[in-house]
Amino acid sequence: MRVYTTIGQSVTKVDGREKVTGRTVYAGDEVFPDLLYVKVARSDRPHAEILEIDLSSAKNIPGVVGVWTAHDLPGANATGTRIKDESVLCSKRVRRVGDPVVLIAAKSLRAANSAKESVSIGYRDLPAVFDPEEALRPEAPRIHESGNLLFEKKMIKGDVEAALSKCAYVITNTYRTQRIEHSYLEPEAGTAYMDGKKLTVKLPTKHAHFEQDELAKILGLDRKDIRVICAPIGGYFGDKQGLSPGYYAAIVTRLTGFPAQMVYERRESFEVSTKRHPYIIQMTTGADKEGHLEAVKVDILVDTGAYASYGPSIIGRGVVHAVGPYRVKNIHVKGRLVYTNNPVCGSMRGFGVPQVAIACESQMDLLAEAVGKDPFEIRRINCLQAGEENASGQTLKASVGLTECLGEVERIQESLPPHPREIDPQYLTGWGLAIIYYGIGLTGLPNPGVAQMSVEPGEKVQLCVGVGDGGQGAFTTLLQIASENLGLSQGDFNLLSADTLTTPNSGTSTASRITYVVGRAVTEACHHLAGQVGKKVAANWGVMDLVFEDGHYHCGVRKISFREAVDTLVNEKLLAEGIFDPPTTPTDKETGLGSPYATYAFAAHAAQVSVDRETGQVNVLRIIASHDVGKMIHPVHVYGQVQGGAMMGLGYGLLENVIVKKGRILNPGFRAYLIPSSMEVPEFHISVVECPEPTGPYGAKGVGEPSLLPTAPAIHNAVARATGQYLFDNPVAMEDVWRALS
Amino acid sequence: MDWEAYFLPQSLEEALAILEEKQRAARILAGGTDLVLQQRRARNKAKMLVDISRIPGLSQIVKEDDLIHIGAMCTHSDAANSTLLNQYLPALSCACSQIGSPQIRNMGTLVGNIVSAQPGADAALALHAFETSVTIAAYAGTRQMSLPDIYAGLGLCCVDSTRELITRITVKIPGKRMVNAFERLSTRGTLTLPVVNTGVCLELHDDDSVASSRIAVGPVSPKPFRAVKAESFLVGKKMNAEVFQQAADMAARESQPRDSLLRGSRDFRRSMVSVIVRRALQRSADMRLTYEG
Repeated sequence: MRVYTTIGQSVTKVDGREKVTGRTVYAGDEVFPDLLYVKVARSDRPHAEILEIDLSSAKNIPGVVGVWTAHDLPGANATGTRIKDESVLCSKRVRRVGDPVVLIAAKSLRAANSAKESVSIGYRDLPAVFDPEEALRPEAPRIHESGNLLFEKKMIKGDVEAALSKCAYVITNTYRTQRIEHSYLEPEAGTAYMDGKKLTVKLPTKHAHFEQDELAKILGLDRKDIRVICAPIGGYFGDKQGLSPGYYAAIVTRLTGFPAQMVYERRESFEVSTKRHPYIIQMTTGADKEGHLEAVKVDILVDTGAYASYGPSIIGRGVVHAVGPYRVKNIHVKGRLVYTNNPVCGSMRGFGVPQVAIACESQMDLLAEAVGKDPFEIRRINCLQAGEENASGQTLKASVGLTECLGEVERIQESLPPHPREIDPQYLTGWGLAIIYYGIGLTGLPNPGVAQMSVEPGEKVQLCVGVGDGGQGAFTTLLQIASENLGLSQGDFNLLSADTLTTPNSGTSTASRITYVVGRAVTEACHHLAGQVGKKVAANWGVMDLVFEDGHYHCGVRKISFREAVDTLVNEKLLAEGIFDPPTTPTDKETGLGSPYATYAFAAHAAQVSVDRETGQVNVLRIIASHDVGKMIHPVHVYGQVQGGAMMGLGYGLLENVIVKKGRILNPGFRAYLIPSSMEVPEFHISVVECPEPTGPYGAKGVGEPSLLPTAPAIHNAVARATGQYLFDNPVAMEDVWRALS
Repeated sequence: MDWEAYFLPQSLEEALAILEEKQRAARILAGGTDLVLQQRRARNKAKMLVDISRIPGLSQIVKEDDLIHIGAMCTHSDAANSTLLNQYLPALSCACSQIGSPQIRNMGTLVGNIVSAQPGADAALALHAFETSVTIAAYAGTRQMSLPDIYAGLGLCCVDSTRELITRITVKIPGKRMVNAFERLSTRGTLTLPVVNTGVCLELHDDDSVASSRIAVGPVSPKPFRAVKAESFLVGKKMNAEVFQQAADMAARESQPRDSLLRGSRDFRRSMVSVIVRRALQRSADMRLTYEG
């Protein structure tokens, strides 16, 4: 086995010291002497026509610098990450509670807030629709001109009806999942200012270059006159791209010339930011008498709320993953995305897959019970192996460690002593199992990662990537990859990240793609840079064949390190660029088949729960998690992702629920929206499987989203094993379990 | 958050004099865990705050014959860690150990828990399981009030913090053998409101039959609720699982929980009253063994 100097080592997190000592400057911490504070007055109606807007009293408040409506906007009043169906400020109509209507800037936060309170908006309420099934009826109020069915995606293989008619076991159930909130520690924030003639915006974002393009249209400026800098990100979990405080701050700076800042209050963040989509999933699973899957039919209805956001991409990924990591010949999956007057749903860690994983894995346990096999066995005989075809008809050539993950979970589960609650008469206990796979990178789209490097004598090596670090350790990981390639260490680099002026567009920080896609681009850039330096060495030594290995150029017994070669043999600045675009094919428009991802991550989780016989209270006692990540670049980060992801999955499966009534969120804050606390953290047993991905950097794939996917389904199955009752709604609420038990 | 003045009186007399002088514009601040939120939200914010944390002697927990006195600055952490309370009033120390989070327990006071007058407030509810009174000091003089009497309605306390303050809580320890326990059901392990909670206290005859009983349940009515039918049912009965179950079922029938978005449906919560009351009774009975040992 190859020995690495930094790959596989848990080196110090490059931004760790700054964060734990409180020195990190987030977007909302930026200070300017003449800073304007920005607020937005929003709709309190789910669907209404705007009749009049009275700004007179708001404008008269001392300290208020400007109060603006849609008519004052400097550029386009249409925005959106996939479809431009959202207004920056609504002029005629609001489609949800929280729609932006009036923009306010003041010299103090207090004045801005008073002005916000003083704005008076006259509405005429319009009929609204809050249920996706109702929204599809012909008589339903139209939320957008195009109709309420926003998008439909199918995946069709074989003949599902014919196959189902021959199956020994056919299981059909309807599953419902809830909206949840990302709950990042740092609420959305942004600061804008003029830097010479360049309007500069600092904001936490998944994709600085996207924001630059979007802001150019909204601000009516040329993109070269806008600089977007990704501020340190205080958590994003898939959110933080598109219309946000940084946009409003930028508009204020554009209109006034002054620096401007906006930070969402927690309540505003809850009400305005996107949520994980609620799904209604009808799933039919058919198998032969040994339990081999023959056919799977899925119908998914998704409420995206008032605007599209990432909805079409999310349903696309949801459909591709609906069947799970199994070998199935006959498939029919249909996903529909529907507009309603509910809060907007969008991108969240797992991107359309956590919902289908619950349905899919409950079905597998029900099948196991019907056939009389244990949960490991039913999965083992059906799960994908290298060389086999997945649901979309893609042959998985390598790096398929699912059977190993299953084996690890089973081995650990068998090795554990009984939990004290297993003999406590107050509780029922049970283990539940779930497995998943997850495509790394964007679904069937080109998504190149780009990295640029430069070096000159006596200077640090500069590494420029267009992505930020969401706390998962992206910067550290990318520097490890660069270090290993060039035989250097973290301190030898100067990292520039996610700044439209100084870094290339590396694509968005989504789809668990940074390590795999951008990491591989870093490797490519290193190769090019090492090649250029190598030419200087070869010329100096007067040799033709030179080997670059372990950070040194070798020719016979002669040897020189990369650093030394740069310092002594290079007399100019050398530049290199690395690009990696994972090989994918778009999925077919009719059948949905194709090779949407270059590689997949695999995982198995087992959860042991106790259920209080009398109250229905579920506690997760233990989680065993095994993940095939290809190769661990930084083990502590991987373990951190797995634990954090599993806790997020636990919150999804047991606690979290954004309660919406007539378009209004009833629990917009952490007092009433419960996320898991440290008291909910179970005993963890983690085992990482390294099934190298040939196209990944040092064999790495991704783990960010796969980490959370199997947890909630495993909890569902564990509760079912403990109680003998399957619950088809997520989350598994205490009262629902109590009802099932009584 | 803003105010015109912040006072740090060094004595009770000084604090009361400030209240008197400011004519209801000043308000008592103890732990601040509720008040700070109210200052942020409410329209009728206090203009001035009178911080009583510098007044000596207010955070003591002392036993005097059959009385236990708990000072106005005694925090939930103080109560949870008090050996005196753990010995005599485990229901109270247990309740205090489950309030909010460590930060809230380190700041919030038992008196504040009473003054906020929430029907499910854990510490105040546990105090309802005992014969509890409070001493109220005002510029004009000092008075005593029994605990149930100071509740004026949901979130309303008879003690007006712009004019007076509770200086201490006094709990009477029954003459006979006593056992007591607290139970709480919540959807998350910490930092969350109870679905339902209960504090129970039994006074026992020598033959282990119940001499008197108190069962407080929250939040099932606008004020902390006493399940009086269940209480009188227990009197004279020998302690056993069946008796406890019957008493718990009676307590559930007496309770009037409402449908709540966060706490659950009325049916569920009523059933849970039965579960936690029975568990609390059983736990008090189990404690008797260690208590005697």
